[in-house]
Amino acid sequence: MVTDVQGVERLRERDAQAFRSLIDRLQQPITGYLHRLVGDREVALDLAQDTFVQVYKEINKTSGELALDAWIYRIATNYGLRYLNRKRLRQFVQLESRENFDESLAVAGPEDQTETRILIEQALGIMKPKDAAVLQLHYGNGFTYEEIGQIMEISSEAVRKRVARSVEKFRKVYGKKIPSLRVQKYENSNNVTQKGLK
Amino acid sequence: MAGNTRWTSYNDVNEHPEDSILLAYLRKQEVKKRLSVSQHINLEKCPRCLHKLDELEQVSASLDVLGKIRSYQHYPELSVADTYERMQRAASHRTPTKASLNGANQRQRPRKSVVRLISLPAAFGLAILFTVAMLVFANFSGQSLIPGPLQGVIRPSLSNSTGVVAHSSTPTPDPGLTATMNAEAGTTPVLTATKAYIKVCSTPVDIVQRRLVICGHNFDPAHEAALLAFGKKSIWQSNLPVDQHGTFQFGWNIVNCSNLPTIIYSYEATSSKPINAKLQITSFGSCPEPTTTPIAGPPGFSPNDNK
Repeated sequence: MVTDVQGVERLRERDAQAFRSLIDRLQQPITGYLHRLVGDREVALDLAQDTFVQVYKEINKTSGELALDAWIYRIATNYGLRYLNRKRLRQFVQLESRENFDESLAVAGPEDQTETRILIEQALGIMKPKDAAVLQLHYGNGFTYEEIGQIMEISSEAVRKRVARSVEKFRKVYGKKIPSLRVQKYENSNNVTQKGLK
Repeated sequence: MAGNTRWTSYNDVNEHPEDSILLAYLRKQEVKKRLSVSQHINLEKCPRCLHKLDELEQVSASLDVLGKIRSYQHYPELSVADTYERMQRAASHRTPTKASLNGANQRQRPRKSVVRLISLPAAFGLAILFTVAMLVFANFSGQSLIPGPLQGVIRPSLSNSTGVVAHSSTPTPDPGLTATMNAEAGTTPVLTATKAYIKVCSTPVDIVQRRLVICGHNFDPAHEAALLAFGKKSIWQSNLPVDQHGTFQFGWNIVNCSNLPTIIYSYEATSSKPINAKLQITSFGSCPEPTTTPIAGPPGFSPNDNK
């Protein structure tokens, strides 16, 4: 992440063009990140806009060198985590399982990856929001440990441990889901074979 | 930077890097003593670490799908101009934190989950509000606030036998009755043929029986009129039919003089051009002059109209 000192200064001065450039550059990736994190397209769109509103309001309160992108991703992450925690609380109260999945995440892309993506998203949904967020940032957005450290305001070493811990949790949760996928695939292939024999 | 390299002991002979370091190494993150880790894996061919690396590689391959999802995601409904405008608007009106916590959004689009959560109690609340409003309206328009003549209130009635008397077309003051009648301007009691006005048209018999009868003139025959009487009690009477001559009438039984209205406003509620008239009552029959208190008139009237 590049620290754009001049750009930050222009934002602090409420320069309209600077804000437009910022939105143009980050709106889609931030929304995509939130979409994958919260698993709901509509909520992600709302949270992304909340994020930019917060940026607009708070940029004046920052001082010195600011890692702008990390700061914005931090705001977005906080909104996403807050939403997930509240949602989790609601689900706990309503005794719902978090198996619901936003189909819009599964629509685009090659068909053979759709099932895998659904299972991955479901597995992440079962995990703690913070663990899911760190995996989304690293694997989904390609941020380095150092950049994630800036976003989450923790040290790189803490990120390294958290990523490893989250991967391990994911492996366990995802491993439980894989058999169902394999059975489904087996049934599909079996159907094809039987059709072929006939 | 991924921090210091940590090693765990294994069989008191070999040392192995922590899993987190192996993962950082695999993910090409900065690791201190990367060379030694690499040597441990590639040269020493540590079976335990190679097995762990293979396991981590498989999991990472699954998680790398998240990066592919990212490339497919696009949100065409988001535009830079809209977002910027909303940023400015929302920042000046409310904090996004509140918006997020309250579940409200800045975008003018329905939000499924919020609608689901809010719709039921909102509909229930609206139904209660509507019912209460209807009850209040019915109370004001249908009967007095405190029903029953024994309690000493104005009892409105539309029937001739109780309160409504024959219409008198000319505004002639009756003996024993002093009233000030104003048209729209509300200056002097000028009654013209074109402007709508209301007047007290109680007959002497009505006055003896304390029947206050209000007659309206020059109202639009196609519409309905309404009366709003201010006094100790305020009474709203709507849906008064205007006949083909543009007149209507309505009467109250004044059971208790203290409830005598001091100011009566009349509206033509259903007309596109609102027609208003005002009537100030200073005394009625044997009732003493009521103590008038300043009343903020309804829309269409200025405070000077009372004079």
